[in-house]
Amino acid sequence: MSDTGRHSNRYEQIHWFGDLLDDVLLQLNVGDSTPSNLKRRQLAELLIRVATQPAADLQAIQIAALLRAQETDSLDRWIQIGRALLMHDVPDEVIHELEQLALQLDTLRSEAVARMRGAVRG
Amino acid sequence: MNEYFEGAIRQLQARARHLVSLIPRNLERDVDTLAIRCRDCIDDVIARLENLLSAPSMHDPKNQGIRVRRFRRARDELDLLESVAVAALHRWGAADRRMNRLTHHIAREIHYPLTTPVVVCLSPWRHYYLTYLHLNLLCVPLAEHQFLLHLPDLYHELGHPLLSVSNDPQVEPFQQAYAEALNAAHAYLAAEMQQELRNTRGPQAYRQYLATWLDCWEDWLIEFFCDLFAAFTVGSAYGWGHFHLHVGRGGDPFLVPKRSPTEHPADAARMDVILHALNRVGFSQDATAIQSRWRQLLNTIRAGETAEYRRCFPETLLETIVDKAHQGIQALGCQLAQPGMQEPIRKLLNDAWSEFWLAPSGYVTWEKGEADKLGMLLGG
Repeated sequence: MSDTGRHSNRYEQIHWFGDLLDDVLLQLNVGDSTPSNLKRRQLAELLIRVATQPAADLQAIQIAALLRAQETDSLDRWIQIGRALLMHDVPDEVIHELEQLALQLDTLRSEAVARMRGAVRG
Repeated sequence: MNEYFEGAIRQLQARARHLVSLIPRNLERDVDTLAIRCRDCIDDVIARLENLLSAPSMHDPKNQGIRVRRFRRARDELDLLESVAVAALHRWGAADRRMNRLTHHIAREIHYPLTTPVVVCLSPWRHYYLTYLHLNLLCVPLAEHQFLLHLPDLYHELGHPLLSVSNDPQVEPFQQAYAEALNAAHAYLAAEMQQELRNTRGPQAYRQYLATWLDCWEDWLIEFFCDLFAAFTVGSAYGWGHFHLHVGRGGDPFLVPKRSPTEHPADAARMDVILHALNRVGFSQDATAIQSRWRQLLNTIRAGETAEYRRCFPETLLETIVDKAHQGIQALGCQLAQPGMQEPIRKLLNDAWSEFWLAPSGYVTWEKGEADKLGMLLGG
């Protein structure tokens, strides 16, 4: 597969994860989010799973690679954030970190699109 | 931002509807899956844009960042549909039809377990073969249907969807084999890193190299698994195809990244796993011939293994990858290649390489005749 194809696949992962993150952030902003909310639970479990078993399955592998590219010291911080999402009250600093992650994912999205347009086969 | 979005979202919705109108209505069944997928994707984008336009939460100032990000994702998706999928449908022709039918035949011969991707002859300059996984769309160069030597790369491309689909029990053993092989690669790198951390006196460069390689292996292993899927299902023709591709388009076959990750492993490592696979399924004689030509090439271009290359791609790890991929492919239920196989497409692609080496100067004439016959077999 050419690089373009690979970037297309990576882009899909960034897109999917970005959608999930923004859905959860929107619910938190609106104030109607609970720990039992489907997407909030999905995000929490995903963050915990990729940080504890990074090669558990293909999705975990791909999301772990995205999280490794972030500026936190290790994947452990994502476990704490995942656990916080499973509690009733989500601390402001957790929401702030999720917003930072969403912004960084948007930068990765932009980079992935640029590489899809200009890459050549390796 | 509300005023901007009032105009920009409506304009993007109009563009999306225009794309639907550009999809031809008289397409044959071969391409139905792509047309349906395009329409579904465009409908989905239009619905998401409608939500950005009219949902009350999207007008709240504190949600404008989310609104911008969602708008950008919708825009990207529509751009890709317009420039790749709708463009392919809009100019669908005889060459596409022929490549599509060829790929269907290949899928049937090898008992491919997924829906065959739609194939279009629309690969941009230097992009060669490429697959857009979410569209299940494979792009190949415009004239590819007239030539045989690179067609084994179709088998490699068929490997990619096997590692990207979700919730399909039939392909999960292959994906599990990939995850196990990735664990083996990570475990190897972790042990090497420990060794480097204990070594406080020597040069520190390897720590950087190992960190870079760690970032690469997820992508590299996908390429290795697709190479192995191709080698195990089409046989020697894939090894020759890899040789041919490297002669024409390759660089340093032993290249390993030192700072920035790469998305493809070194061509020499890819050849190594391909030859292992060919030996396993009875193509030892061909594997020896490919290896001999490969060594000639390495001498010609004065390429040789470096210490970094061997540390990056240790033989034991490459053998583990071959083991895991072999188990995974067997679990898929695919029909593996074997010497003397008689299925028409696999036989033709291997015969093409035999003919190439038997009579190189007359090959072009032979190939034209065979490509024409293949065209008739495929109905156009």
